[in-house]
Amino acid sequence: MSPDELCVAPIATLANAVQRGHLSPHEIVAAFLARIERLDGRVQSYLTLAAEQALDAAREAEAEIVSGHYRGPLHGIPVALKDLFDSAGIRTTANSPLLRDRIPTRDATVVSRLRDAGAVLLGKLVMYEFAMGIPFPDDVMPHARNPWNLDHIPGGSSSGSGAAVAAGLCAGSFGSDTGGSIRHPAAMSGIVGLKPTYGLVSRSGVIPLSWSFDHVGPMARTVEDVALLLQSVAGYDPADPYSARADRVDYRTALTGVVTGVRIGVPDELIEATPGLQPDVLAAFREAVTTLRSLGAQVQPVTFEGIEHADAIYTPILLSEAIAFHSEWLRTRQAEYGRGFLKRLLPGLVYTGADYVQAQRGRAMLCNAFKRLMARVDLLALPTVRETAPTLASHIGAKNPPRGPFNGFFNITGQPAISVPCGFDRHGLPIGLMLAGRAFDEATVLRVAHAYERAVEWHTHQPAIAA
Amino acid sequence: MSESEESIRRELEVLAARHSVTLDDRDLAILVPFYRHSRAALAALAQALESHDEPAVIFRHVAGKGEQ
Repeated sequence: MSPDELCVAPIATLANAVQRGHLSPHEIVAAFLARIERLDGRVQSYLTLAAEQALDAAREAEAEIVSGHYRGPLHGIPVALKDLFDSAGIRTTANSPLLRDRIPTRDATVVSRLRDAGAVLLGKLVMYEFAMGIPFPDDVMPHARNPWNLDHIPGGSSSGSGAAVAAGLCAGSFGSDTGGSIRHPAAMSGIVGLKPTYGLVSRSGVIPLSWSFDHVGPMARTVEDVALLLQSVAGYDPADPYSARADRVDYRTALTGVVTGVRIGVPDELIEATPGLQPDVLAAFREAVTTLRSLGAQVQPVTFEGIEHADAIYTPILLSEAIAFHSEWLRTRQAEYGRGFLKRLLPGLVYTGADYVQAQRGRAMLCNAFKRLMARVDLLALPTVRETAPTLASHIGAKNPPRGPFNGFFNITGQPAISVPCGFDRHGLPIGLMLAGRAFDEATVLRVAHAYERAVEWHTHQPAIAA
Repeated sequence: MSESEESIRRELEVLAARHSVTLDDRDLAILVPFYRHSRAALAALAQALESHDEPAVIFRHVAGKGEQ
């Protein structure tokens, strides 16, 4: 494998080579650092590169492996993280001018679990400010570019994660998802992104946006890689009060390729009635459903009861919790925020405590409706986004940021949802298929996504910059 | 009867002041329509909730596990 081939190879392939002694962690990390040096000036995915620490960690991993202490498939594998995961000794800013010099003294649980698995942290990635701010003309912090077309955004808010994975500037990443911020960039950047069940992955040490909607999850080039990354971090964490005591599952062995008999619900009426749904996106989605059916899935139309209230439920909770977190800084340091973030945060001021409680009651109503629905189907299939990646120029200062618009449903209910590539539009920009499952049934979500991925092989396409 | 723009502006200024935030005309131009939309959406939700006596989800784990 050449250094560039190595940078776009799946984690599973690299891990196999490392375990057999055909590749060394130092060799891999050096290849990624050289590629970042060469390409990231254009992709702009990294906020902070931790090159020296990464090389030290690679040498350490190499010594361990040579001495017979192989930790598993992430040992010596270079990853990079959205810049809201605390990393001891490495700047963590949430891409906000307000935190531009913040250096945590402790690792987030996800970071320490990745280190325990032997992963090598390359650095911290660009994101939308505090996971919500949209790009604005006078922003002082950088915006990542879409490797499929550098004039376009890679999606957000885990924008740098989408861009870096797609461009082969890290082998895998973790993002956060409060309303689609893993799935949205995964779809727009042509990679795989999983929002796990609420509580499956610890948020301890992750800068919050909305405590009851925030999820943390993996982003990578294949479903198998996402399964490997999830495996390394999933599980109860007493440091996160919302962490769940879920049964331990081997996600990789769940990838059996079997789809026969899986019941997949498609909310046809909702999809057809979605304003702004691009014809290319709808066509790719329909084709994906046909493929799932040909693999043996039983596809049936479904209705999302109460979904017309999703925005009245989602927005008050999101913004009230965000205002609660930012309350002190709003009082004392408001001028230091980027305008794109404030523009999205300030509407939260209109909500009262009564609105928040009503929205939470509505959330319970919607959760119960989805629970009833999920007794009849195993998965739900939807387009991840309604449009492919817009240009950065059209996105800057946009009145409304591009949203799912279906992503937030599963932040409300806490169900797992994955985005997997399902084609390209007429301009060569990626499109994503979303599959959502029952709470804590990531195994089925990953199994069907993996079988679909192997059947269509969209994941083997590379952006020109990565080729 | 819908509220006048002037009364919504006053309401928003009071709400913002609770957080020591001062709103300028540019902020209010965004927030007034947002406020109207939010009130209408929450009123529709309240109506739907009349037939669903749901406890708020904040009192239990959203995905059904993790109670300590």
